Amino acid sequence: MPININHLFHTYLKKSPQRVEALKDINISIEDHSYVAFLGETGSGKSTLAQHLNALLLPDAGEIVIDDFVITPKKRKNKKIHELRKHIGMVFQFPEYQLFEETVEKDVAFGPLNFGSSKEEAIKLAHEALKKVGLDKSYYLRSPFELSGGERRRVALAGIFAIKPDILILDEPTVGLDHQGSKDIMNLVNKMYEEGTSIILITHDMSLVNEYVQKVFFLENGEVKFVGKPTDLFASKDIDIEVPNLYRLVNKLNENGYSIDLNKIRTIKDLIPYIKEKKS
Amino acid sequence: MEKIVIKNLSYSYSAGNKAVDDLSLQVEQGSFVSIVGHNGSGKSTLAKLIVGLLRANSGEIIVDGVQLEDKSLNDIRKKIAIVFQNPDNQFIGSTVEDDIAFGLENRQIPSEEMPEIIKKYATYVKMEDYLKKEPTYLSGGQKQRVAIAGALALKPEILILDEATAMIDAKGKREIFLTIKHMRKDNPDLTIISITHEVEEALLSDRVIVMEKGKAVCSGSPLEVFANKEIREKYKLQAPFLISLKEELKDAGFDVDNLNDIKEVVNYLCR
Repeated sequence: MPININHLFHTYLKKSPQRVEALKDINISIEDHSYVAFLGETGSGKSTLAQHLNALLLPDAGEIVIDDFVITPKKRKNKKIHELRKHIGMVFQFPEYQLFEETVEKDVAFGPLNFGSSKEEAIKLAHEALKKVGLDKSYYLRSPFELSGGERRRVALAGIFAIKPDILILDEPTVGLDHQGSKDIMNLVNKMYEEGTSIILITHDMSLVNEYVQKVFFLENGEVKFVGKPTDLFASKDIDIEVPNLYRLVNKLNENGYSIDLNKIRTIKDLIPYIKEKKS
Repeated sequence: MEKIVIKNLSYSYSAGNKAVDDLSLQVEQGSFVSIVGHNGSGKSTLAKLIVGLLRANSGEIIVDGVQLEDKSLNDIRKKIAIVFQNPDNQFIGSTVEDDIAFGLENRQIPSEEMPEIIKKYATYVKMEDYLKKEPTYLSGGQKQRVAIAGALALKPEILILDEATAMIDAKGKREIFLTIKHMRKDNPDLTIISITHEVEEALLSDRVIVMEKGKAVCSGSPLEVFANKEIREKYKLQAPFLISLKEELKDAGFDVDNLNDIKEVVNYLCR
């Protein structure tokens, strides 16, 4: 599903002296089946922007067009929001805090049930989704609250997978997870992408961006400062971010006689052929 | 001198499932210790036991030679500041300023001294322009910065960071660790325990303790721990960039054993 955002404004606490202009005239488009990231410092507006995509927040001005859904400032016009949310899965920061059912199975089945699946269908979808995140039958009847943080996050993700969204938004999906847990989650997200889901990643982890993302939107003080490929972002002199170690290394090598195409380098392994050629 | 001594400590959330299991360790005064280990290994439980948020089933926690128990709890807590991972769970004040002030009030800092202290530490974490803002409208990373300022403002003898920078971008993380470095210089006795998954962060500490199934299974300098492939694989630890790079190069047949930093690697590769 393609997404178009036109002249989007959002201000928190409009009538208060504490007003915060969180988003100022955002114009972006995200093509069907893309893997993108919203980047920016803490407080730049990236989470606020994401919350507009499934109408958790409504714009103060402007519109969001997703396929044939239109989200506008007027609540009354947004009757199709429930329908829209079937298509857009959102995984919040620390999703494990949102689990609430007595059993893992019920928690994951909640989404499909809420969107009109029959009980059997919902349970079936829940089992499929749990399998995807690597939780077997022994978990079905356990309480989410007795699981570890990493397991709970997988349950939360399964709850989103079960509704089979066309667009998946993930707000800092790997925060607080150990190395293996992060890898597992990103592999799952990739699987979703390969199956046709668009991915929108909100993160400040540039190595995730370097490894997975096709296109980035960099926000600063509520405005989009950069749109383009991750490697172009890292190369940009106007954007002040900490570039990934791998990228910095490639730059140093290129300054010293290598000619490595940055766009082809996602992991250290990708470098080895260039080095072998040079050193042989 | 040992600042914290832990002897045979055990704790279970539910019967049969030990989150901390017969754990013993010592933390030297003035040292910066990172505790690593995968999710569910008992790291955060240990932090909560040290500040007395949880009460151990058995074993001892000794801070400055005094055993942690009901009657010493208040005195020991005064020495410790802790910052947790999820900033939403630790906001009390209605504005950023109030939130930092709350901790100071608890420590009976005279109110006329507070504005200056608040300003100073808010500036350390780059939140000085947000003093009058409501926490609700701050981002996750901004809340973490405020929580860190609140902890530093207490001038604790022991600072415990429980994934306190997880939601802050790399640049912000570096700034915060720079602040902590300055604080250690000002006060060489400051003891820091950092629970973290970020290996590049753990590299900054004096000592790394690996936890697994509630026990401290391994301890050493950051390089002793992270350059050891066996330990990393066994406890699912990520390799720092330099070490991954050296390992990949070694696997490809290059002799990189003696290279100590990225600069040396670059020099070697470009020779």
